[in-house]
Amino acid sequence: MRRRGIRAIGVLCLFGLAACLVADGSESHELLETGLPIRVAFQRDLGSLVTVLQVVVPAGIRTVPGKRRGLALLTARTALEIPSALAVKELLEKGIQLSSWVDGDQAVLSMTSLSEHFADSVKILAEMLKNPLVSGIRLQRIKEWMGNREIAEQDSPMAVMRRSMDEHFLGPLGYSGGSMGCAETRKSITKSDVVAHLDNHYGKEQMSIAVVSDLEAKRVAALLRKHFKSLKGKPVETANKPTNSAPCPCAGHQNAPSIRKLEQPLLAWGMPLPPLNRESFVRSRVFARLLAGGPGSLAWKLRDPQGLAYTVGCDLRHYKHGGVMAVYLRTDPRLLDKAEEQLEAILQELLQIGVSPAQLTAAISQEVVDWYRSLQSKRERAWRLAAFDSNGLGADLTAGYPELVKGLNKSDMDVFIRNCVNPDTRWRLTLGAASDARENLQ
Amino acid sequence: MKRPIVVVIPALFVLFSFSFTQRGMSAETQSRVVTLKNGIFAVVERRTDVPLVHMVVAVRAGSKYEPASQLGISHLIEHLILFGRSRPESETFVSRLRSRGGFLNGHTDSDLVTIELTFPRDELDFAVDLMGKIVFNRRFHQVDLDRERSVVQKEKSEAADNPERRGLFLMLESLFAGHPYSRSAFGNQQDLQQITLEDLHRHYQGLFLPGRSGVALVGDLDLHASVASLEKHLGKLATAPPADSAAAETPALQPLKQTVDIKRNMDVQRAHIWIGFRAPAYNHHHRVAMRVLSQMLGRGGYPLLSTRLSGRFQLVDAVSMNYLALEEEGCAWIHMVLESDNVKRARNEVDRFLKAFRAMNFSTRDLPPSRRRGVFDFMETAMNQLRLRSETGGEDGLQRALSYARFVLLNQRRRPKSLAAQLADLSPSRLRSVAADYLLKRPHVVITFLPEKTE
Repeated sequence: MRRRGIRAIGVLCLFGLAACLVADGSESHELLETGLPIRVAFQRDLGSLVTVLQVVVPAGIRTVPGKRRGLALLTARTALEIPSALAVKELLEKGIQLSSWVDGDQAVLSMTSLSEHFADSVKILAEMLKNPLVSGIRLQRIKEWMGNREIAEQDSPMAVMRRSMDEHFLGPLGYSGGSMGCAETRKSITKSDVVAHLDNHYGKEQMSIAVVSDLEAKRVAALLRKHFKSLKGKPVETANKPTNSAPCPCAGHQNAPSIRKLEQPLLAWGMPLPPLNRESFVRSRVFARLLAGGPGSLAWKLRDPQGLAYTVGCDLRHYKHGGVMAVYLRTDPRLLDKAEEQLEAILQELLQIGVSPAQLTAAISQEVVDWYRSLQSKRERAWRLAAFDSNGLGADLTAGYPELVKGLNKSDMDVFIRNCVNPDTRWRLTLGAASDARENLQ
Repeated sequence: MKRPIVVVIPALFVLFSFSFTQRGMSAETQSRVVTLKNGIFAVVERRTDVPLVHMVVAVRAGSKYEPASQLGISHLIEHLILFGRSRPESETFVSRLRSRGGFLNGHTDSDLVTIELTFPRDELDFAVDLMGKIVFNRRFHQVDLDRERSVVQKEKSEAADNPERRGLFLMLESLFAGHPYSRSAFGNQQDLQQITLEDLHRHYQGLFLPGRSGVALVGDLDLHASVASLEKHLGKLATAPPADSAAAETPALQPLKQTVDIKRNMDVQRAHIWIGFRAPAYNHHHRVAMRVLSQMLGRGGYPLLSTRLSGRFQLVDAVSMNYLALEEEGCAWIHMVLESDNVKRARNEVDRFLKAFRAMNFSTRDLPPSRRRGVFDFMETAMNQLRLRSETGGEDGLQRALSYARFVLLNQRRRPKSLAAQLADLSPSRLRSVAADYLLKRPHVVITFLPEKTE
């Protein structure tokens, strides 16, 4: 009887311990001591039996010349080419997910695995990074995949809008051509370009790594130390030089985009954002939330009560040298003019009067909740930690973001918003209405 | 006063493939299933990873319960629940919620309407109260009906602009011909125009009842306070339908008699093909086998269909397989995006592949131990991918709440097993047999969209 009581207390203590671990899991991170020249942010989270590891390197779109656009993505995909048939078998059979993508400034390599398979998967990932498989056949296959994706995206109004906005606002800042470049630039990329890009930008000193896992920090650190110690190095000062250059040769097409006729054409206003830093990052996100961040936002009035649209939203991309925010909606062709007039009135009001305190308070409250909502996913959290570390905003921004948002005030936001909505720098885009290509050129 | 029935059920966690061995048993003890006084089933789960709570109310009011002359009425009601006002001149619920940081959303499928709410943990009582007021005992207004009717038509047109959604709707129309599962939740334009406020109230009052609802609360909450809040705000709602309310019956599902082959043109860059099959229902014992099959054939890093179609032959740009388990029957479909010139070859190749599948060795368990070395195990891959998907899906509190709310309404299995246990029961021969039953022997539906310019 007494033994049963002691056992029950023991079980209760275990419950308490587990609850504490869960509670602490997502609020802050620690820097993992690996003894390697790699910054590793670690966060323990017992919420799932999954480990996510993300490697971020400053090897985004802007690090390649305009005439080689597509190279950054091609290299990021190549970096995750599995070197041997045996490794392919091991990785796939364990259900491990590998993916890579690039944005304006960074390339991201992501690995998600069941934690029971983490030791095996990190070993294979290190092998891939040490000896990437750069073969002509594989490069050709990745180029074909990029070409197919480019064609498929022409059927998506949102994808066409993004690419056009990027070209218009970010092209002149050195991000022209986007991640995929065009057929012409892809064709010109050679195997030696990829090898050089890997050598210049994927050294261990350039890596920011984040791991979010239910495993213990000590175990993760030991595995990284063991497998990542022999990665190639590259002094940071010689790499990471932005290669701002001539635009992608196909860039002109994106400024006058056209798409098939749509039942619900898309109307968007794009606005430039200032270079990325903590302040502009926080303000631009809150502005997006305020302007078209769901029900109750300023542009939502076009949906309710006016009934002019079903989709009303805001799209945001923000890099070291600037960013773009697009507020968009989709409506009947016959309502386009009215919708444009209404949207213009909202932007004019922001320009002349500024934001109301009640709207700002609501946007701040929702932005905080949405931030937490996104951080539930280990993958999202690992990406934030590594990307913030890599782009200089600091990994601690992941946990500190809600406090920065809560600290915003009306006068700072008004100044920020007025700069964004300035009619001289805004750009209107219509897609899917008759002869939209001609209109967009004007 | 009658106390709410509070039961701890570890079995609930069959929805996610959690193993409690590493996490301790804290998750198990921090969850409850409650039957409120008026019959609402509720699941409450404490997860403290972020300071939020997610709440889902699911109601047995999906599009399959719509009268044939009022198609789209369930989805229209979902819109009015979210965006209708309590009085025409008053503030919307979403505006009230926004000022406190909350997010409100909703979905209508064939079986259920779900209303979903995410809010800061300090707002629990406010949010539960608001959810009760949003979902139950509502009166709608003409001005809201007129506006949402026009918005739903725009939503429907947006879906028609999307080749993937358009093809899927067409496939379901033929796959479930004669049954309400054949129609999209959007309904049709003529019916939408004719639905009156009276129709709307009759349908709503017959279906949106506590006795037809399941509730899930997941997040950083106190179990005791949450159950008390549910009982206070939802437990006292009347549960009986008014005498003149709509009947909630659906016609029986008839077998698909012959294979259907439909070709359409659309102004798109690439051709699309959908091959649709009837598949196991939500409670069918073959459901997990079908999940593994669709994962193995068309999802993840190295699916079998992809090796066949985009490997040596390069017939498709992309191929995937999906499976949706509805209450009365499921459906599975293969979707290909490809150049128009390859349409015929790709279709033939899929046919050949499915016929050969019965004799295919896709697992090392098909081979004697001496011949297993170096052989790729597609089945093991798919099962591990499913376990991983289940774990990562469970990280999102709203997804957990949605799964729980569906589960309490749709589950009919007395002793549901965990995903891990069901996967352990599977064998290659069982998968072959399920594939033969659903993907080979029965009639199916093929939809092809060809780019207009090639015609």
